[in-house]
Amino acid sequence: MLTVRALTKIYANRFDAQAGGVRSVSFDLPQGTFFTLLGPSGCGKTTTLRCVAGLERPDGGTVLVGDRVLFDSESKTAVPLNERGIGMVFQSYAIWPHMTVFENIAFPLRVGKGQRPGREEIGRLVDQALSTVGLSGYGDRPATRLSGGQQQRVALARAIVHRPKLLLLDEPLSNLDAALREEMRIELRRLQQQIGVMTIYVTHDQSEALAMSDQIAVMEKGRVVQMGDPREIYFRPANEFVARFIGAANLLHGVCDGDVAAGAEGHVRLADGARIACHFPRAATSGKPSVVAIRPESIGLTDPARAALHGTIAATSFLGGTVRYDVAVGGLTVRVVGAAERMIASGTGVGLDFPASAAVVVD
Amino acid sequence: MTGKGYRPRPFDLGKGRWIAGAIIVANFCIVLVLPMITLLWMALLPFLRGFSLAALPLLSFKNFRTVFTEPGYVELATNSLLVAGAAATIIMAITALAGWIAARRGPGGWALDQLATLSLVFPGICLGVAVMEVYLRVPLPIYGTLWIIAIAYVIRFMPYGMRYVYSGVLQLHHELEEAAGVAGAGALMTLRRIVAPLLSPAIVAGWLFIFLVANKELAIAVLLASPGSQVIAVSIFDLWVNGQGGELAAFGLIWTVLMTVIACLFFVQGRRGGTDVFGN
Ligand SMILES: Nc1ncnc2c1ncn2[C@@H]1O[C@H](COP(=O)(O)OP(=O)(O)O)[C@@H](O)[C@H]1O
Ligand SMILES: [Mg+2]
Repeated sequence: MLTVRALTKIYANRFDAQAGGVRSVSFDLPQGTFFTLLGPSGCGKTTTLRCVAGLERPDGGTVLVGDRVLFDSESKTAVPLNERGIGMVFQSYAIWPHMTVFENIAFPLRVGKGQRPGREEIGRLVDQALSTVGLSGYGDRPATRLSGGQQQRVALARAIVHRPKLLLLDEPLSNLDAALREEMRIELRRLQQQIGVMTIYVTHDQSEALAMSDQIAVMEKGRVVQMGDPREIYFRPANEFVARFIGAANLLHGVCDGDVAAGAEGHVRLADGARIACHFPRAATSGKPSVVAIRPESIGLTDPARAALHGTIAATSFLGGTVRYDVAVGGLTVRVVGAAERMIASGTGVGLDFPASAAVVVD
Repeated sequence: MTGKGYRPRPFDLGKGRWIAGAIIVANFCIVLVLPMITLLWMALLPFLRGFSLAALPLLSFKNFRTVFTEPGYVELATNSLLVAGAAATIIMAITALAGWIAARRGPGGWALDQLATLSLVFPGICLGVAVMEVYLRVPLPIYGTLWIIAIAYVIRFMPYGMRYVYSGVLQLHHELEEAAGVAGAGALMTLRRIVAPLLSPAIVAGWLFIFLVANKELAIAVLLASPGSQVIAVSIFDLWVNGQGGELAAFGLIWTVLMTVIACLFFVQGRRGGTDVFGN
C-alpha cells in the first residue's frame, strides 16, 4: 500500500515568476500496482517522485508506505532518504563508474541500516538480481563498459536487490533507442509482475504509459488532472488537455442540447448546426458549452445522407496499414483513420459515422 | 561525469593541423627549449659568459658535482619537497570536504568557499608578513621552522585546491550521490564510497599543482625561511644575488628535471588507473 495525500512542493522561481513544483497531489495504490505518472515535460512528475523518495522535502502532505509514515507535515515526520528502503532508477541511471557491476548492485546490501547480509548471502542476492534482469555473468565487468541497455538493467538490478516495498522509475527508457525501448517496455512490465513490487513509473510517452500501467495519473502544471486505468484514460479523457495529450483526438466545440445525467447519452449541437449523440461522463444542463472528443479510429466514413455529421475529404495519406483522412467539416478539420483496402479520393463528400459511446464530452 | 558512458571525441583539423602543429612547436621552442639551453650553457661554465666557440674548452660538469656533493643542497631539496608536499596534502584534505560542501550548496557552503578563496586577493609578501607577525606573537614554537612556511603555503594555495575540487564536484552528476542515498548510505558513507573515489583524479591533480607551485613560491618563503629552514626558491635567489650563476643554473636544471619526473610519474600513474590527472 502506498498513500500519498495532498503532496505539495512549490519551487519559488525567481526568474520567470512561474512557480514550478507540484500542488496537492494525492493517490492510493494497492500492493503490486504498476502506477504511472504521465504528463508533458515540466509538469511535476520528477518532483512528485523525488518527494516520495525523500530526495526533496515537500512543503506539505503525507506519504505512507503500508502503515509506515515516511513523511507527514502535520506531525513533522520525515524519514531520512537513506532509511526509506525504496528502490529507484534515475533518469541518468547513476551507475557508479568506479565500481564493477557486482559492486554497484551489492552497494544497497552493504550500506543499509540494520543487519547486513553476509558475504555469501550478498553474492547470492546479487546473482539473483543479475539473472532477474538478464545480465547473469556480467558481475565482473567494469560498470563503464556497458551498453545503454545494459546500464539500464544494472540500475534496475541495483534498485531491486534489497527487495524494496516500493520501486521508483524516472523515465528509465527515455535514453534508449526506439527498438530497445519497445523491448525493455515489455521486459520491465514482466519483471515488475514477477517480483510483484509496487512501482511508480514516470514518463511523458503516452503509449508507454498505456502499454505498461495498471493505473495512470495524468499531470498538468503540477496537478493530477485525471486518474484511472489505461482504458479509462484513453476512452474517457476527463478534459481537453488529457484528450489532446493521450493521442490524436478530434476535439469539437459546441453546446449541450437538453439536460443530461452523469454517465448517460445526450446530444451536443456544434457551431455549424449539426447535432451529434455523445456520452456524458458528468451531468450537464442544456446550453452548457461542451467539447466532444472523438478518436480518429472510431469514425467510419459513410454516405453523407446517413450521418449527422458530414464534410468533404481535404487530404489523404496512405500509411500502409491504414489511411489517414483530413475531412473538412464546416470550418474545422476532423481526422479519420480508415482501412487501407479502400481509398476514398480527395474532394469526395462523406458522412462521419460513430457510436455515441465513442464521442465523449470532456468539458 | 555522469552515470552514462562518457568518451572524449577527437576532432579532425584537416589541413589546419599542420599550422596548428607548427604553432605548437614554435611555442614549445620559445617557452621551453631556448631557456633550457641557456641554463645548460650557464651550468657548464665556471662563470657567466655569452655563447661563443672560444668558451667551448671551458665546459665542465664541475657545477653539477658541487650541487650533488655539498650537503647543503641535498638538505635544501628535502626541505622543499617536505614543505610543499605537506602543504599540498593538508590543503587537499581540507578542500576535498569544503569544496564538496560548497559545490553542493550545503550548509555554510557559500561562506566556506569565500573564506577559502579570500587569500587570493593578498599579495604573497603581505601574507608572509601577516603569518610572520602572528606566529611571532602566539606562543607556538614554529617560528623559524619549516612548519611556518607550510602554514603560509596552506593559506596561500588553499584557493587552488578549492577550485580543483569544486569543478571536480560539478562534473559529478548529482544523481550519483542521490543514488547512494536512496540505496541506504548516509552522508559520510556517500562521501567515502562515492564522492571521494570519483573525485580522486581532481584531488590528485590539485595536489600536484599545489606541490609544483609551492616549490617555486618565493615571496612567502623569502620572509619566513631562516637559516635552519631554507627552501629552494629562496636559495636560488640567494645564489643569484651572490653571483653564483653556474651553480644556480646547475641546481635549477636538476630541480627542473626532478619536478618533471614527478609530474610524469603522476601522469603515468593516472593513465594506468584509467583516470586523467591533468584536467579531465
Ligand atoms: N530544483 C528546482 N528549482 C526550481 N524549480 C524546479 C526545480 N526542480 C523542478 N523545478 C520546476 O518544477 C517544475 C516541475 O519539474 P519536474 O518535476 O522536474 O517536471 P517533469 O519531471 O514532469 O518534467 C518545472 O517547471 C521545473 O522548472
Ligand atoms: Mg522529469
